[in-house]
Amino acid sequence: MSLEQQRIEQLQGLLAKIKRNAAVLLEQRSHRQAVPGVSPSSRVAAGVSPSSHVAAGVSPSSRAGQAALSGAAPTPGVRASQPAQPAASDRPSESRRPTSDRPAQASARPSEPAAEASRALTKRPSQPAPPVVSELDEAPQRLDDELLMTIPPSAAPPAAGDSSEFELPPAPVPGEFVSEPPSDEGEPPPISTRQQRGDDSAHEELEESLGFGADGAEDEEDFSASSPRTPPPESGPQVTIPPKEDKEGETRAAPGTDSPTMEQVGSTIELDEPGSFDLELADGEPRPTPDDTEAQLPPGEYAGTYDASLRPPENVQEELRTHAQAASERVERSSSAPSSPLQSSPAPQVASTPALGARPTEVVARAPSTSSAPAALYDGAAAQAEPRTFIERLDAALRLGTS
Amino acid sequence: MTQRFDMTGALRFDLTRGRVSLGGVGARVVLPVEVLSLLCRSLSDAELSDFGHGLGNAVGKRVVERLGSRLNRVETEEMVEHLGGELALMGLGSLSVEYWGRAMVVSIVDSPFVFGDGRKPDSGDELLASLIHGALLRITSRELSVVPLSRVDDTARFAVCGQRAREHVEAWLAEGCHYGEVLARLNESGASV
Repeated sequence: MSLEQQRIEQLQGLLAKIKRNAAVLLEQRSHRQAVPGVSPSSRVAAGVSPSSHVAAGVSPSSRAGQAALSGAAPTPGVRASQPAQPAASDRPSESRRPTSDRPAQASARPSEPAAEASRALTKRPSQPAPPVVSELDEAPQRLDDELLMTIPPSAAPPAAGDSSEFELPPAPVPGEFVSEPPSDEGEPPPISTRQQRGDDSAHEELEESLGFGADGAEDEEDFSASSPRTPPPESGPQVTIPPKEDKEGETRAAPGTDSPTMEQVGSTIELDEPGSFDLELADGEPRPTPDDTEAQLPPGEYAGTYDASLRPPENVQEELRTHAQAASERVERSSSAPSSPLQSSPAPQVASTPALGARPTEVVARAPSTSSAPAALYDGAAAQAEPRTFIERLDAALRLGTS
Repeated sequence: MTQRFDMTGALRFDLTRGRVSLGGVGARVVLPVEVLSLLCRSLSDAELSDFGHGLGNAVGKRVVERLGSRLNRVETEEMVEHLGGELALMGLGSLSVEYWGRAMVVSIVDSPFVFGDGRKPDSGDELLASLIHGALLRITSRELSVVPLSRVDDTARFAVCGQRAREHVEAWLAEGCHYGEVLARLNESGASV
């Protein structure tokens, strides 16, 4: 059975208790309606706040459920000062108003018993609950805390027109943060629950009236023991899950332990030691060496001789002769006259270009010169040397214009 | 190898005695150029030529003393180095040598002897031509002539030629030919030789 199913069963058990207590409340309220000066609406709405609706996960339209779960309201007594508004519980926005502006209304209470009830329901942590408050005004603290643990904060109150049917809160998503119940020793509980802790005396009475005392504590203990909870990051060392026994009685090793279980170890099969085997080689010819792979050429019996088998056959001799004659005639035609496409070409340089394979009829080449005489003669070039010194250049200048 | 002209200690000023000497030997006189210009204008052409030849002779003498036995082997650069150095010590401008073909042209830049308007060779250029002629005559011992060609801004050009070529050049200049044309004709005449 999974964890969620266990929790669902517990919640169903709690729901059955709530229904039973609600029936008792309805019965008691019917008795109180006979008392003069007490507004039944104020009694029902006392201490009910939207936050308690959300925390309880119960429809606020169910007044019996409201009365049963209203003990842990963060703003107790707000509705007690408004006895003439029976439908105020269906307006959660008003219930969140601060209570500082309410004493004038409270002082204008028409009847003394109602005012007395309002003072009793205006519970503060520093003020103990007056003894006049009946057990109906007290909500079971542990029930509220437990429901606070299991209901996700995104749960919204159902519509006001719902009947008295109770809806089960959705199962928590695995891995989702689930708040633990406040521990008696160690770190203090959160603020939301701390305020509720201040009303322990009132809640205890309500628990007793609802019959949620020892049984609820036991359920809570069972629930907390059976359901593993993920501690918040700031809660210190994590709680390790103790190993559980399987059906077969085998103990599984908890994660993190060193010793493996038998399932993990399994049975070991030992293999025989490998023996030494001799390779059997086929007895035959020895392996050829690289030198043996070289093929030996046949003796040169045909070297320098003509092999008659290489001669072309007799039937192609005439064909080869005809082919050679046709080729020679083709060469003669191309060399004697230009081809017709070149003749029709208007470009003279193209027409004068001889075809391939044509031979020049006559070549006249200039005989190479055998004389060592220079090809060109320069008159007067080597007559005078270039003057270099100042005197020489001066003499050259002085010769100018002497003619 | 070109020997650089060393001007270290060339001009000495003896303020105690109130004398200026060139190389510690000859006495020099520092004169205002305007006074010298007035003097040159008052001289005739022959007197001005003799005055210029006297100055050039002294310059040539010092160049010969510096070059010594290497005088006939020196190239144009070294000759310009020493001859120009001597003229610079006298404050007569910067000397350079140009070759237009085979014609030799000596140019002097920034000479203080400018007696005319600068458009045509004036008496100042005649003085410089006589100075160059005297110096080259002393250095080379050649029969030569120096003819003023042109003056463009601060640059005065002088053609170094023979005696017969001098007559042609002066004739071409009298015709109004540009000095470039004169030098071209001079080269053409020389080619026919």
